[in-house]
Amino acid sequence: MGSNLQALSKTIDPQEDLQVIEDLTEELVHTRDQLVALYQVSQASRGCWQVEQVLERTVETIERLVSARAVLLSIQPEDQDSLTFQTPQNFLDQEILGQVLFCPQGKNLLAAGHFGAVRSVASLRVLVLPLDIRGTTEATLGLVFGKEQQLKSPEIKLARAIADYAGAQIENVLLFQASLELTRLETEMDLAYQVQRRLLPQQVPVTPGLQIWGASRPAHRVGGDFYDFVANAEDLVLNFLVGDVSGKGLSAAMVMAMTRTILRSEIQDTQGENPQVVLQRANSALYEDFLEQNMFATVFVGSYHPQSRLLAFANAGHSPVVYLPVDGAARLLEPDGTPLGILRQTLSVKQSLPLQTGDIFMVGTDGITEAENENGERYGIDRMLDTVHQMKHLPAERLGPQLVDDVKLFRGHRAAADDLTLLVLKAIST
Amino acid sequence: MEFKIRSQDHVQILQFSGSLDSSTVNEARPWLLNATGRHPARVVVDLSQVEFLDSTGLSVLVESKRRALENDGDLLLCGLRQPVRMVFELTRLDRFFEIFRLEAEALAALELQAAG
Repeated sequence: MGSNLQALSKTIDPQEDLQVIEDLTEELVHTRDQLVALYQVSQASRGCWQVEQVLERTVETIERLVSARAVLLSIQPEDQDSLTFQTPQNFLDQEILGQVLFCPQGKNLLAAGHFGAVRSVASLRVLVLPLDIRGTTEATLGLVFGKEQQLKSPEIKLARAIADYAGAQIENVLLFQASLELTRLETEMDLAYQVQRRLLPQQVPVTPGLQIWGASRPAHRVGGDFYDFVANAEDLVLNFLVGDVSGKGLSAAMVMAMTRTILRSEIQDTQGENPQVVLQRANSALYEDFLEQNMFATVFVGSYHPQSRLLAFANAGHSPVVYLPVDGAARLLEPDGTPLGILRQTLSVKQSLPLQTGDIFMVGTDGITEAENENGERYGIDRMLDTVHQMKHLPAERLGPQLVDDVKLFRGHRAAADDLTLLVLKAIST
Repeated sequence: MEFKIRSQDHVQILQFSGSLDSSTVNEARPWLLNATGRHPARVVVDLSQVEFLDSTGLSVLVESKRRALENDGDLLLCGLRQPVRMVFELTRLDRFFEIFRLEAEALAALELQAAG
């Protein structure tokens, strides 16, 4: 425009002057029209955040802005049915409407610099304008004119501008809806987290001659790790279990809750006498479900008898299980049976370990051994055995937290990828 | 993760490289589903280029072996590196899977299975 003003001041031909002024005026009028259109379209959807409402109002507003016979709009959000709007209502048959506005490569057309397309329907001409909406949503605006109406460049530019503004409004509404959905999910996750925290032992059972410490930290809001105590008030036998369901997040957490309940129930039934039977029965009860979900659970079941100081246990594919005798080196106790949900019959046998004062017995999950640092190194079993060995003089209530801290320190800034659970038992003098 | 697949004597040989864990398992699954969906599903998974495997990785292999068995075939593993081998041993999944050092051994085992 600036160069035209300069031209204006230099020219001496009155005919040319008039032409330039006419051209400038026309440009001004078109620009003003576009601004009015922007304002009106953006006002159309003020205060309404339902997608359908926004589309309806937008279509009605556009009808007032252009001299079209009808305004059509179709939108296809990802994974949802398409919606169509037109004003006047029922101007075109639904099927014809769909065909007319069908523009699958719409965004590519826009990217290549086209405004859209012009299509003929009966005695009408439709200006088909794809909308540029972020993501996978497809939307197309159609302006219907009579065949006799001229579609000149300024009209097309105005229509394109309106389509762009409408696209922006729709994008906003879709984003808003998506964030509402996310907030809803977050709240559900928060609730699931609360439930899960309450399923963990709220207290440690008092057992003569034994210090006990346990903790479980999910990597995400909810996890697949668990530990639990089943105390028997009469004979003071301490039954404990630690498990790890494959997978992460909500589905692992749900399977975890089921597994824990069955294990508890079987432990109570067998009175803590036969940890291997507990695993067998739990496997039978849960096998079909695990198969269905394509999951499995590594489980350790232990049972400490204070009178005999005997620790009986059975292990279905679980690690790390560490035994640190008071007068020896720490070692890993390897499982002998497959995890629950792998084979129809588990093969874990019952093992027994007499504990002496000062002995430490620990059961963790791979949140410890698989913890990864910034250099891609894993904490590993050797490091765990070393660390535990150095802490052997500490009581269980200090050893546990210190080991967890050591793992966190090792991880550094890397976020935890696995749930971390640790149960520490230390035999003390009675 | 990188994937290579080739066919030899009616056996699908899948080679994975990198890490088979919760972040890559969704990429690996379609390859495994495809190989184990055939009939008979005779599959060898070469893990010689896999440095790490976690419970999610184990899960997808378990799922795939089951599918192969359902489709009159089997899924065998070969070339496990020490850290990966240890994960199988510690979960005792070395009882569920047949694990071979070399691809040739795995192929021979599948041959025997097919003949028997």
